[in-house]
Formats: sequence, C-alpha cells, structure tokens
Amino acid sequence: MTATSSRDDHYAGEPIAEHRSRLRATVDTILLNRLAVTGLIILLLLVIAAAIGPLVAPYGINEISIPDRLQGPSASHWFGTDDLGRDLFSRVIIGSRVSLMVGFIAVGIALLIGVPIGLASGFYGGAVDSWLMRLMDILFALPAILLAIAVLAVLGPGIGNAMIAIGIVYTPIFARITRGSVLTIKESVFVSAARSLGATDIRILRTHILPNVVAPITVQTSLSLAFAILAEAALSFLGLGVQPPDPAWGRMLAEGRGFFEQAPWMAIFPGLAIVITVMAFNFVGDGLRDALDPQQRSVIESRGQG
Amino acid sequence: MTETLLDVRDLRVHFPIYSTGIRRKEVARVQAVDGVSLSIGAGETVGLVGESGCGKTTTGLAILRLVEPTDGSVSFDGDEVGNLSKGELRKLRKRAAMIFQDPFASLDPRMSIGDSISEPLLIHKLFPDRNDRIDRTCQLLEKVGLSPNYRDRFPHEFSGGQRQRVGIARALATEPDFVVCDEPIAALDVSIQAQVMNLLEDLQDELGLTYLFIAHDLSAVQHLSDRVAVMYLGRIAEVADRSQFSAGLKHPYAESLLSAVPIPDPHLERTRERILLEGDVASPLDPPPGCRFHTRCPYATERCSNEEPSLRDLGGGHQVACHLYD
Amino acid sequence: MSDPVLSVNELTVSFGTRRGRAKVVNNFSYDVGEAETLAIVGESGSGKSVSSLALLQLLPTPPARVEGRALFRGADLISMTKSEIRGVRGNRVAMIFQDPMTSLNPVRTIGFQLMEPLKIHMGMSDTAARARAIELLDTVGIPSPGGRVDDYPHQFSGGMRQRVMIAMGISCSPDLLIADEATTALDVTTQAQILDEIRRLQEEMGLAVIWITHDLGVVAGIADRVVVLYGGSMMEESVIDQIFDERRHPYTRALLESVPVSGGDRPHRLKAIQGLPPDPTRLPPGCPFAPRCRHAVERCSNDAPRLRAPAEGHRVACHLDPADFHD
Repeated sequence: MTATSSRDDHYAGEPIAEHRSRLRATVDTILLNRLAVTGLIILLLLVIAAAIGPLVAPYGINEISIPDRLQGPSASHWFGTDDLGRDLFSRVIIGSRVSLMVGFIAVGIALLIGVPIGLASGFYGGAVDSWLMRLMDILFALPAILLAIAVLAVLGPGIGNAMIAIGIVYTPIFARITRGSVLTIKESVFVSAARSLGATDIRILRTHILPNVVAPITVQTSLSLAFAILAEAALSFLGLGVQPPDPAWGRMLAEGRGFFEQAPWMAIFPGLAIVITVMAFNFVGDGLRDALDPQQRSVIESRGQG
Repeated sequence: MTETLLDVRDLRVHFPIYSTGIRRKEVARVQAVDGVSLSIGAGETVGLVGESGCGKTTTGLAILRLVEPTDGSVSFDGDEVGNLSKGELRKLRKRAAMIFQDPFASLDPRMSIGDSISEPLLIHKLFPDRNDRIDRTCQLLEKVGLSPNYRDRFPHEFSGGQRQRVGIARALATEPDFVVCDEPIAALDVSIQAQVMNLLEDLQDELGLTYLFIAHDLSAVQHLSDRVAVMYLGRIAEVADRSQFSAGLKHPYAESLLSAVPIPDPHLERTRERILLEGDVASPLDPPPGCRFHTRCPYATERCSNEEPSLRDLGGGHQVACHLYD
Repeated sequence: MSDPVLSVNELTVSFGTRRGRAKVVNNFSYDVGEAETLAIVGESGSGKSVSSLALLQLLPTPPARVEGRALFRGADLISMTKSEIRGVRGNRVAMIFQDPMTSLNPVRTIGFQLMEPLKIHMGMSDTAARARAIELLDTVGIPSPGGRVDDYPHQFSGGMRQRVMIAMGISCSPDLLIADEATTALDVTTQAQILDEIRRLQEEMGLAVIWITHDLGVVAGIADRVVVLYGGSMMEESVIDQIFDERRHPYTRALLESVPVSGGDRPHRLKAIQGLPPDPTRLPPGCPFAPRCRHAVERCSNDAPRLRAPAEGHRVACHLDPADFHD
C-alpha cells in the first residue's frame, strides 16, 4: 500500500488501520491459538464420525456375540468388547451421534428461550426485568442435575425429554448473559445516537443490540455444549436419558461400572470420549472468547509476534 | 433579530434514585437540570459551557427529548416538544440532530461507516432506492472531508478526528435545521480540534444550521458561538453575546471560570489575576438553598443563601442571575 | 548553572509490532535543573508519556526496548537493577498520572496509602507516618486533614484525589516530580487550584518538575522551559518565552495558531493543521512533521533535520529558517 506517498490534501487523511474484516480478524486470532485449533480439529472429526458413523463402524452396534464378551482392546476390537460381546469402538462412534444431537438441541432450546428473555429483560428493564430475572434466579438456584431429574420425573425418561430438561436447565444462563450484555450495550453512546436519529426500539434491538451481544452468546454456546454433553452423560448414566440398547456414552459408562475390575476398557473408552469432547468444546469456547474481544485480540497478536 | 427556532422555558430534569428490589421506592433525586431557560434564533450558535456535572449535556439531551424532562417547556419551531406523539417525535429527529462527544463510542463498531451514515436515511425513508442512498452517503462523506472510497470501512480503522467527521456526516444526513453538538472536540488531539471546529463553521455557513454547542472549553465555545450561556449546578448563571463577553462577564462564577482558563501566552499568564475558588461544587443530590454558587462565592451575602436569584436582563440580552446586579 | 537533577541522553524507545519495530521515542535528550519546570508538549503518539515511563523502567520489556542514558543525580536510571530503581521510584522521583481514581487503591484509606511509602522508604513508625500524612494533606490544601486521613478514595472529589496523588508524590521529599497530563481530567477551576499548588510546592521545596501535557495554555502558565515532541522526535526546545514569541519551528507555530483564544472581536477562522499525527510504525523517512507542514520543501521528506542551536539554549530541528515561512 502506498499510504504515505499518495496523500490527498482534499481529504482528512486515510484510515489509520489496515482494512481487515472483523470475521477475518477473528479467524486469524483463532488460528493463532493452538488449543482452539486442536479443539476445532477434534470437533470436526467428531462431527464426521457422527455423520458417517455406520460406514466406518466395523461392527453393528447391537451385534451381540457372547463368545467374544469382555475382550480387551485388540486388532479386531480396537476398544475391546462389552459384557454382551458388542464392539465398543463401534458403540463409541455411534454414541457420538446421541451426545452431539442432545448437546446441540438442548443448547438450541436454551438459546431460543433464554436469549429473548434476556433481550426483553435487559432492554425494557423495570418490572419486566424484575419478574423475568426472579424466575430465572429460581431456576438457577436449583442444582442443575436435580432440576433436570425433576423435569424428567414429570415428563418421563427418554432422549427427547432429556433434551428438553437440559435445555430448561441452561435457559437462565443464556438469559443472564444476554441481559448483562444488553444492559451494557443499551447504555453505549451509539445506541443513544441511533435513538437521536429517530430509530425505533425494534430497529435498535435488531441492528445495534443483537449483533453486539452475539459474541458473548457464541462463547457461552460453545461452553454450554460441553456442559450439555456432560449432563446428558450423567442423565443416561442414571438411566433417565437414552434407553438401552441404544448406545450413549453416559449409558455405556454406567454399564461399564459393573465390570470395572474385569474389563476397565468398558468404562475408560466412553469416559475418554466424554472428556475429549468436553475439552474440545471448552478450548474452542476459550479461543472464541479471546478472538471476539478486540482488546484481547491485539494482546494475543503482539504475543504471537514475540 | 432573526426568528426564534428553539425556546426553552424553565426546563427541569430530575433523575430519581430508586432502592433496589421488586418494589422500587424513590430514595433521592439528582437535580441535574433545575430551571434552565434559553432561546436560540435560527442560524445562531449558542454555546453552553460549564464544568463536569453542571447539567449541560443533560440540557442538550432533554431539549431533543432523549431524556424526558421532569418539568418545563421546550418549543421547537413553534411546536411543544413535550406534547409530540411518537411519530411526531420521529419527525423532529429528522430536523434536530445530535453530535456526540466520544467518536470512539458513538458509532456502532459492527457497522461500516457507510451504513452508519445511511441509517438515518433508512429510518426516515428518505432515499428509497439503494443506489440513491449510496450516492447520498458518498456526498456526505465528501462534505465532511472523507473519501467516499472508504465507506465500507469500519470505525476502528479510523482516527478520532476521522470518526468525529463520520458522526457529523451522520447527523447531517437528514438535512436537519438544528444540531446539538455535545463536546464534539473534547476527545480530539489539539491539532485536530481546529479542523473539526472549522468544519462545523463551514457546514453552518453552507447549510444554514443552528447550533447548540455544549463544551467545557470556554475558549472553543467563545470562538464558535454568537452567544454563550454559562451553567452552574443545573442553572444558567449568565448569558452574554460576543461583545458583552469581551467587555467582561458579570457573574462571580463566570468570572472565575474565565480567569481559570489557561491562555497560551506566557506573558499574559504571568500578569493576569486568577480568582481561585475555594472547595468543590456542591452535590446535585442536595443543592444548597438560595444561589447555588453561594457556598463558594467570594461576594456571597446573607441574602444569597436564602433567596434564589433569577436571570435578569442587564440590557441588550446580557442576562445574569446574581443579587449583585439587582 | 549547577548540575542538572536529571540529564537524559539519546533516549530511544521502540516497540515490536506486527509491522516490525516502531520507534516511539527517537534520540530524545534534555536536562532538568533544580527548581525548574520543564514542559514536554505533544499530541497523542508523540512519545511524551512513553519517554517518562521509560525513565522509571515502567514499560514492559519486551515488547518495549529502551536505549540511551538518563542520569539522575549522576546515576543512570535506565541501567539500574530492579531493586535500585524501586528505591528511586516514589522516593526520589515521584510520578502522578491523569486518572487519580485508578492510581489509588479503592479498598485502602487515603492515610494508609500515604503512610506506605513513608514507612518503606523512610523507615518511619506508624505514629510518625500518620502525623506526616496529615501534614502532607494539609500541605496540598485539603481542608480538615485530620478528619479526612481515614477516608477512602471514593469519598474524595476528582480534584481532591489529584491533590492526594500530589501529596503521595511529595511525601518522601523527592528531587523530581513527573506529572503526566495530571490536570487533563479536571475542570479548569480545579486545574487552576492544582497548578497553583504545584507552583507553591516548587518554591518551598526546590522541586524539579517535568510537566507532560498537550495543553499549551497550561504550559504557558507553569513551565520555565519547553520541549516540543512530534512523532517521537524533538522538534524544538527553549525557554518558555522564546517558544511562544519566536515560534521558530513550523509545528510549534502551527500548533499555537490552531488554538482558539478567548476574547477578541469577530472570530478569525482557525488555522488548522491538515492531516493526522503520524503512525509510529510508518514514520516518514525525513522530518516526521513534513507531510503536514505548510512550509515543507523536498528535502524535508527525505532528510530528517538534526537539532541545531540558533541561539543559546534554543534548539530547533528544522531545515528552514523562519524567514522562509510565507503565510
């Protein structure tokens, strides 16, 4: 760029920074973060595994073979077999479908309910805010798993109801995060500026507030996905989520518990799958948080330069 | 004199402070603006000057009804602003705009500067055709001294002075008659302040704008304004035009404010006399009775602490609120 | 002239950035004498704050790199060890900043914060330090200091907090006070009070002061000598009257012409300086001011002018002679 030589006296100078779109800057910063990249790669593999699972799984998930029961990891059964002789590798691969689906749908429910509540509460304030937030506080005050169990006790166990239960549990988090961000952004000068130009409430919410709360919500989404997967595992472990014989990591963990001394792999591999997935979501969440905060971004970039 | 465009009578803005909890009770009131009267003629620039917390910005916001006045009347071109419906208020926003202090905060960081400038056009459905809107945006950018080529760039790519130009272009998009400039140069570098002041003057000449210029910098205010109003703790202490200002300010507060403004001339600085005020400004939560300045005023008498002085015309529109001039 | 309190020699500060090293301060040299006030004037990005932070080793290194020497009473501040510089900071060289709220710890009383350096640097007992703290608050003009010593920072107004900062600054009877935009955030009437206070303290204590500001009015009121910085380089240095009267450097001249002055009849149009202050990562090869200078000739954009001395105690970095300025 010939920034200094092509100076035009007619104008008040050129932009002082290079043109780099926000998306580009965000992507650049994420790519500088090794953990986030690792997390992204793991998640990508996981999604692929879930998508083409039946094609790569060497055995059927419910292919029972009693003679092969409780075998350790080997060339023919990478993760070993369970008490019914089912191939654990195949079950872990297919189990990722349940985990990811429950995670995404449950968090989706929480987003769809929580974000509008937070927007209304933060933007309108006053009595609306007081009542909505007290309601959220009540949900928040109950221990998450207890609340989910209570919801499932009413709705009955099963995967669909598990997703609803987890979604309800995470609603107040999204409502709170959204409200907090709206409260800050509502007070910013550019919102007053838009109002001074005659913008309606709807316009202000849509064009100025919502795009500016996307960043914290995105971060929270990726972190919540990790928690939702854990919650699903816990509920399935307790027998309230996925019902046998469908494979789910929590369920498999519960089944493995009884055989821990004879066949530790029955618990270790689904457990590892949970740990790795949750960590991957957390890495990506942390990376996003840094990347979406412009102040953090410049710190990271200067560190990247040594 | 030209016809009056804006007439403010006894404007009051009190901010209630509530207790927390579901049942919110008012526990105190910040009397940010407490009885301001001011009129501005078409094409005139009136400067509103005062120190932090004196209520000058709140006055500007209340005139445009960006905060709701507690009491008093604001009439804009004959219409009572307080009585306007939502739709009528939106029409007022087309004719009365605002330029904000902080050019870093007054633009949405996620909007390109072109989109920011064309937003008022969209709101008021002024150029329904997209290409016309882009043309108008380019024209506005030219007008404030920025190249139209940069309309897709984002605020963070510009310096403070350049962003302030974008803010000005945006305020002028709907061709308003009246602009409230709230500290438009305070956040800028010294060498940039003059650029922006000149731009504001040029635009006024070209478009026949009327300005309310709010600032704490008395030199800048005096440079740009036809008349200057000095505020202290929610009230106007003195209003003087250019020649009255040069002849000398009368109110003891205005006098001390003027004497405290540093002058970039070492010879003058060595010889001039300063009126140093004692203590701090009283709290707007609990303003003193009588004249609000009497707690710091070197000439205060018994009467000042009991009786509130009203703005009195000393002749030629020179107004002072002080018992010394009764 | 007696030996200077501080003698800065060829101070250069650079930072590592995405686009390579940026020289934020370039070959900066100056002296400050006993009981003298030196004003360092500049806009944002001129290097005025960075140069003084570098003196007390308050810049993170890396990314910053500091070169040159700064002899304070004969000892080089730049090459001091961490513990040596700690013995100087707040003790013999005090610094006050623009924002007195963030410089004070909100959960400690004013008294506690005033007593701390007295106990650390001067080994005072609790009672002695407390008595001295009250005395200091009185010195900087805080009414009823005995009652206010146990108050917390949020109970003070902005102006009062800045007075507390000054009290902390002078508590160990420093030789040098560095004030970085210390009155910029204050109202003018409060600023006038603080400037008055500084002048009085200087007379009483023989304090040397470095006053960093962008406000030429404040400079005119407080400085004995002035250094004008632009784009990290020194443009001009002289005693105060010469700077304002002769306006030898085009930047000094342009800056003085661009500020409005109260009084006067019909306003003249301000002579604004066109363009923007330079980006330290993209400094032009010649004089940093050349791209905005009304008088610049071809030589200015290729060849950086060296400081020359047209008169005793007056240094100017410009190729041109004031006779060449045609307005």
